[in-house]
Amino acid sequence: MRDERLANGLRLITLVDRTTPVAAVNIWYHVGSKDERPGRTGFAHLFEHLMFQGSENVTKAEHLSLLESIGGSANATTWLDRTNYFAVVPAEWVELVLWMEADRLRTLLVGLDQENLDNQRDVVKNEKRSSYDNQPYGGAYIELFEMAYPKGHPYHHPTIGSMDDLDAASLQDVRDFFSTWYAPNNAVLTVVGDIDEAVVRGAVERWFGPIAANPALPAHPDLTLAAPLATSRKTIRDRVPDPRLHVAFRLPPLSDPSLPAAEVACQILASGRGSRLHRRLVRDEQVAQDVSLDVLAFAGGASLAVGAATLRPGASAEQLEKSYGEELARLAAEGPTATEMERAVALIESEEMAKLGDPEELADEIGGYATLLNDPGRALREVEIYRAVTAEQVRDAARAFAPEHRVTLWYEPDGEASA
Amino acid sequence: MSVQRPGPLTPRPYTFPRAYEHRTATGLRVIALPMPGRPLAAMQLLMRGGAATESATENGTAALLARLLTEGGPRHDAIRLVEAAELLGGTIGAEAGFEGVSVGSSLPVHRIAPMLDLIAEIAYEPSLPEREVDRLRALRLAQIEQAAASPRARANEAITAAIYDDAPYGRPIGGRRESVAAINRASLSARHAQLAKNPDPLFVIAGEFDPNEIFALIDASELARGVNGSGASTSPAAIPLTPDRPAAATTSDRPRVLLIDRPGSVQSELRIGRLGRSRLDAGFHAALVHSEIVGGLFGSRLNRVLREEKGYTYGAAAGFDFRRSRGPFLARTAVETSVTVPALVEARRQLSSPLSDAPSDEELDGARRYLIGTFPLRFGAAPPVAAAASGLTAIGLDLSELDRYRDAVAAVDRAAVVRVAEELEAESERIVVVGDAATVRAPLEAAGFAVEVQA
Repeated sequence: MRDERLANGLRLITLVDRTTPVAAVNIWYHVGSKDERPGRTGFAHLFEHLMFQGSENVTKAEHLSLLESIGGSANATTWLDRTNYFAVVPAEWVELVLWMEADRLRTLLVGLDQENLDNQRDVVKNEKRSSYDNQPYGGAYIELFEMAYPKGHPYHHPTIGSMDDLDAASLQDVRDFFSTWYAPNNAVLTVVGDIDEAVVRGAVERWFGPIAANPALPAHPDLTLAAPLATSRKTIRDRVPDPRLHVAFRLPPLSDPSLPAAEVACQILASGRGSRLHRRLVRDEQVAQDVSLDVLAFAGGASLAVGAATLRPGASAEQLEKSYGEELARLAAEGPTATEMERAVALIESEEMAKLGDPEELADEIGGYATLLNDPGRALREVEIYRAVTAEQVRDAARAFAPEHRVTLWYEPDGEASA
Repeated sequence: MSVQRPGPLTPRPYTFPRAYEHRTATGLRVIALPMPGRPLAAMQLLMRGGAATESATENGTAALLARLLTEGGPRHDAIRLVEAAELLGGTIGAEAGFEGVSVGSSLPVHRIAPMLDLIAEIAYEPSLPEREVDRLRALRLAQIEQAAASPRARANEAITAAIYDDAPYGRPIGGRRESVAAINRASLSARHAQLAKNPDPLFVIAGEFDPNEIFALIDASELARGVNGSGASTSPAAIPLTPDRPAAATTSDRPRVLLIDRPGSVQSELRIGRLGRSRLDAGFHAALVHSEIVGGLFGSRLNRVLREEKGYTYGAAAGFDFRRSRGPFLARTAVETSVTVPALVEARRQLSSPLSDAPSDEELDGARRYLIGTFPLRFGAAPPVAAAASGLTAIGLDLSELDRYRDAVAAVDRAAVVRVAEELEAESERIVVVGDAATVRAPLEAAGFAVEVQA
């Protein structure tokens, strides 16, 4: 893996993998919904859409069509800590992708007009309707984040943002957002695949080299959480077919060496048919249709563990919640068995094997660790990190699931026709 | 353009993994596809006779049987099975499709020997415990209610039912309330017995290995012991999979809309479908190019207009679902309630646009290059390679299909694409809207649609 910086601050990481003749190009910009100002929520994500609307040498909506026409695919995502743009293409086309990424970083505002802004604002509103408003239980994550982080904390509000804020967005607001955050010194560019590192390096110098750094890049907001999470509870009556329990707990941030143990704890509790929660709630007591508990890792303040279990028709909601909580407490008290640790590590080893064979996923993980931890090599060391996790560490990590630090959210059918 | 865009370097060669064949003494056909550099192997055993062979009253039996297989066999109950698989770093699962029931796994290639025995145990000798039959049937019924509450799932089920009436392709593979409620241990056991004796069971494996070593491992495993494959054929085509011809769409000349009422919906889920094509029909590659242009690519006619020009939706897509017999051609989108009618009108216009506005050179070139270029991207890992090989073999196609794919796509011309559009019978068109009937019914009728509302 080569890790270098251009004079303008752009970090370039390259990794050669000749297994398949493809190249993955990935850019992480260190700007996410945590960086949004009050009254301007949803900007980071709206901006992600505008990045596909054309620049000086690429016309509106041509970006994706051009990538498709060379046999590639591309997308982008926005999350609390970042906005990432990624493409995977036949290896011979890698320079065209680099050129397109550089063109929109250098000249996006040339192509940006009111019509594009209005159009993509409508698209984003429909994204919110599709993904949240019109889906049963669709608002659960928004609620959980608002309960798990205090009002005013940068992680409190949802990445999709407030529709009122999006309506209020002016062209000038959007221009300011771009000029502030979209700069080579706020980006990590990762290229993985069947590439010649010198060719990639030359192309990056050629197209990104002339782009000016932003010397006034603002600091990210303070993510410190003053107090531990206090327990809270909420019930939402909505058009859902069955009651569903959602829970959330704070975990250490991504940089904390104990986070991998928490991930192993979640895997032992809820991953697959052999996991503790599945065995007890779905198989033995038959109070749940499904169970989950997943880690969402964040850069600062606290990461989150979010869990869910849908009540089986006719079963007791109290019993479901009690059993869910008891399994978490049991892991914190007794720790995992040796076999559970062995199974968890074997599965993680296979997942890592899959990741190393997937240039797109590997490039994204490298970019993420470079951006958030200044440690791109961690993507290749993950398997050792998980192998080193001990049963005692898993037990200790599970203490984060204590009921006094738990957010509990129930969805209940609103009593009208559930379908 | 003011700037010369960078062109390509010399393309590097790509070939689909070569397939090696073997037949065990007991009649199991084995296809192995070596993939150097891919230590995570994928495999699946396919027993013939899937949801396409089910009558309406049996609907969902194969799917529930698949779920029951992972409840274990004589040597491993469900918990011991999953623990054994996980200790190998592997997954083990079973799935029903129209063509058969498959048991599959993904795990590091150096540990596959014990997994072959686990697959054989649950595929050939499942315990089908009574208690788990009852539990999983109840869970499936709950899942059916969950799906009914999802506008997306509801629309998907309604459109295929509308196109196919009561033929197997018109039913959800997982079954409906009435048919699932009637499944019991005896019917599952009978279904399994039938699967086990159907001819031509198939085992496909992909990953980093020497195929001869893999064949030796399979010959020595339980997988090679439990098959006879000599039973009488229950032809997958015994039941017509599709209506002989499309039913008359309507008694009037107005296009008919099935409007499923979901009061208060902030979006309408739209589905427009027609009888599509069989994977075995000539012109498969032309149909792929047609689909990309009309509704596959981000820059397809449908998505370009509905999303990028009008802002009606987060996304719109259309394409063929290729099966042994004629699968559907479906368009899907979800649009803001207030634009339901203009979005539906515009979507229908774009779907049939190749008839009046033949694809441009740029569109043809873009779609062909997309299909050709993404082919290696799709097959970078072992699971999609094994799935593609199994899927083609299951419907009787030779794997040379995969080798000739890119040349065949490159040869598709404008006339072939227009022919695909012409062959999409207009009389087979069905339209489903899941949304707020109180708001959208009147505008739909005013726009000339014959609306049937379903609660």
